[in-house]
Formats: sequence, C-alpha cells, structure tokens
Amino acid sequence: MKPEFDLNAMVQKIQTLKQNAAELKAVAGGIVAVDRNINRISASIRVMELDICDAADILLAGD
Amino acid sequence: MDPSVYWNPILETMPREKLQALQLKKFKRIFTWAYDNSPFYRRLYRDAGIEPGDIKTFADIRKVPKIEKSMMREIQGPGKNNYPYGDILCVPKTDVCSYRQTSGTTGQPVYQADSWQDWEWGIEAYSHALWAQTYRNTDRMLLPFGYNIFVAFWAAHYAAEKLGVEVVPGGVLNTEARILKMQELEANAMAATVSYVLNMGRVAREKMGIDPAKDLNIQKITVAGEPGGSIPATRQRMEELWGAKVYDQCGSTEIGHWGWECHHQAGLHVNEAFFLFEIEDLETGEIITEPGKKGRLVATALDRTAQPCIRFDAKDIIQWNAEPCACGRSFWRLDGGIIGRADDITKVKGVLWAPSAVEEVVRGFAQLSDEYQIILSKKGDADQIELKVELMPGYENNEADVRHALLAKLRLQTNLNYLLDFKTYGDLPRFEGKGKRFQDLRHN
Repeated sequence: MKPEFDLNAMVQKIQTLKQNAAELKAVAGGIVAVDRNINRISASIRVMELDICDAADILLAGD
Repeated sequence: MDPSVYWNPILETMPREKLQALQLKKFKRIFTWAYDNSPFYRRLYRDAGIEPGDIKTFADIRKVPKIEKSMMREIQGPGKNNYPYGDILCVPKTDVCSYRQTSGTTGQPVYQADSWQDWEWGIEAYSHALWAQTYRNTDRMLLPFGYNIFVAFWAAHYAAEKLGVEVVPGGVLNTEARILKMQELEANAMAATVSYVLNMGRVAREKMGIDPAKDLNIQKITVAGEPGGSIPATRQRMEELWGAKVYDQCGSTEIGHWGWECHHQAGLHVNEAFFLFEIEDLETGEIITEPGKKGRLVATALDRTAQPCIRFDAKDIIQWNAEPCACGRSFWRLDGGIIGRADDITKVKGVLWAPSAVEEVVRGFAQLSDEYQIILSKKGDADQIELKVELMPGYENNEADVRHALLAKLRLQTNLNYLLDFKTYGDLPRFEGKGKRFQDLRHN
C-alpha cells in the first residue's frame, strides 16, 4: 500500500501557512500573546519545511 | 508496506541516492549558516582555509575540521563571550529558550543552547523513534527520570505528548514510588537507562514483592544512555525481567536524538534525513563507507541552528549495516548499536578490547547478577583485568563451576584472561542513571 499524497500541494500549503503566520504577526500590532504564539507556530511550520519541503526539492528535481 | 508504520514516509523511505542528495544540500546550508553567524565556526573554518562555496561534494565535507568537547570547553564558561555557551552561538541570547549540559564525566560540562525552533526539531527527531517503536495514543508512558539539567528523556516526554501518548512524569519520586505509580496507573510503557531498567526491576521483585513481568503492565521500554540496549544478553535480561519488548535509542546533548530501533528490533536505524553520519577508521582516520568495519562516529546535526553541531567527534564506536530492514526504511542501521566509547576501547596485552564484550558475557550467565565492575591495571609491565561479579541468591554454592565457565567464555570472546572476584549479592554499586562499571588505572 503506497501512501497517497501530493507533494507539490503539500509544499504550497506549508508556504501559505508560513505566509499567513507572518501576516498575522504583522497586523497584530505587537500584541505579545499573538507574537509569541506565532513564534511557536512558526517553529512547527519550519519543522514541516524540514520534513516535506526539503525532501520535495530533491524528489521533484527534474520532474 | 503500510505507510502508517512510518512517522514520515517521505523521508524514511527515500531512495538512498536522494537521501544523500538531501544530506549534501542540508550540509551546505548548515555550514553556511554557522560560517555566517558563529564566530567560533568562522574562525575554525578560516584557519582551515575553507568557506561555504568550497563544499560541493561529500569529499569536500571531509575537509571540514571536526569539533570535539574540548573545543567547547575552551570557548565556554565564565569570562568568555556569550556566557555560558561561548561564541559558537548563532542566534541572539534572547532566542535561547532552553539550557542543557553534558554530565561532565570526562571533564567540565559542555553547555548546550536551544532555541524553540531547535527544541521542536529535537522533539521531531525523537518522534521518529517512538513512532517506529509502536508508541501510539492508546499508550500510557511513565518516565522515571530526574527532570533536570541533563537532556536525558526530556525529548522523549515531549515527543510522546506529540504522538498523543499519555505521559506520566515520574520526576522526583523514588524507585519504589515510581513502581507503585506504574502499577496504580497500569502504565504500559516507559523509557530509562539500561542500568535503571534493570535496577527498577530488581527493586520491584526483591524489595517490594512485585514481579514486573506478571504484576505490572509494562509492554514496551525504550532504553538509552548506555550500550546495553543493543547487547543481546542485556536486552534479554530486561525483556525477561519486565515481560516487555525493549527498544534501543541513542543520542547526545550536542548532536540530538539520532538513532533508534524500529519494532523489528534489528539494529539501530540512523536518522539520515536529520543527521549526517561519517565513520572514521580507528587507526587511519579514513572514512569507512562499507558495512561491517568498526570506526568512530563523526556526526552533523543538519538542522540544529542555535548551537550547531557540525562534524562532531562523538567518540562512539559503531559499524554500518547496509542490509535492508524488514520495516522498509531506507535509513541504514548500526550493527550492535553503539559498540563502545573510543575512550574505553583500548589495547590490553596487544588485543583491542571493549568493556561491552565483557558485559555480553557476564549477562549471559543466569547465575550472575546484573552488576559487574571491571578494573584495568598493571602488574609489573603486564596488563591485568580484574572483573568483579555477584552470584545471584541461591547460587552461592556454585562459585567454582561459574568461575570455570565464565573464564572459558571470556577467553573465547575476548582472547584474554581475567582475575575474577566474586562479591556477595548487593555489594556492587547500583545505578539510577548511566552505570559506571569500568576503570582503567594503567596510566595513573
């Protein structure tokens, strides 16, 4: 049984998450609760970049 | 293969050539990051005449200077830049959220900074291990360790939570209280050092009248911190004592959690998506790429950014196993886990010798307790190995037979003779953390 996933779509969604996090931080006017939660979310998004996006760069190269 | 057996099937089943391309890409990135942001690394690399653009192949990586604990000790501590971490730090101190240190058994402790980003990365690395060892959200795991300045099982705690495992922190409870809590909550999993798993089991059985295999519900145990998890005789003892499957896991403060057994218990997988592992020949220093030859580990944490770990001489002795594992992962494995420490592997009477070889023999004797002590010394010009062991209760009258059989087995396994000293059961030290069972007094 092969896993069913769309690597390209996953990469795009992760980049969207990253962008949304940055935009939310930008419009939060420095509210500490938002700022610090975004920092944590961003760390999790970074882990997904390491998990998915880095691999996609290699696996999709030449496609 | 069922993809649900993998934490991340994309990385764990990547074709080998793609995995190596990923490692090279990541090495270039972490090298550049460290060069640009850490005065320590920049100094090191400039002195060696190497800069980011020079890294194009794995052969280029081998020209990058290694680091080791003694170098950290030189840049860390009072009066140094960026106290306590030193100028290896690549991020502002305001980004450091977590402090840990090494145990300092070989000298001044090494201080390790982690940003939240690195902490998340470390937990992700440990998540690979627990998932591969069948931890799921139906498990209740008791962690019987002192939650303190050592990294120990902190990442196991957070990784287990991430998997959905219910975690019972067994922090400052004593051994008896931990066993009672385990029994009360019907915990079905735990993680601890090899020595403590054995010690806890004996305390339960001998002091509390609780048979861990029958009266407790522990079904899986993750062990770390000592080679015993991959020594068959030691693993068998733990599994029989607890009636549980035992999985080995390894890592270090500086590198991170880099290796683990999957549910097939067929050798430590190394996480080649998060780390680069090189094995150096013990005598020539040449890189070993073929399986079956022992060497020392040089490790790079490919994604750890606050205090990077690039080409760290871990002083662990390992050997590759390139045979495919039944689990389907493409990560290579290590034969025998961490075979020993380079500091402990030594020549005795001209023979290359490791304490783990003695452990395998001692723990293969049911008449002997879990504990032993080895002392290397000199008698005149000759090396001498003293081995202290204990007979299990009920075997006190069998000393002559055990002595004869033990000497024969040790000679067969290690080609050396031993001075045996039989102690009364309970006389040798017991350990809650890593056991200290070996002393080399020859150079004192």
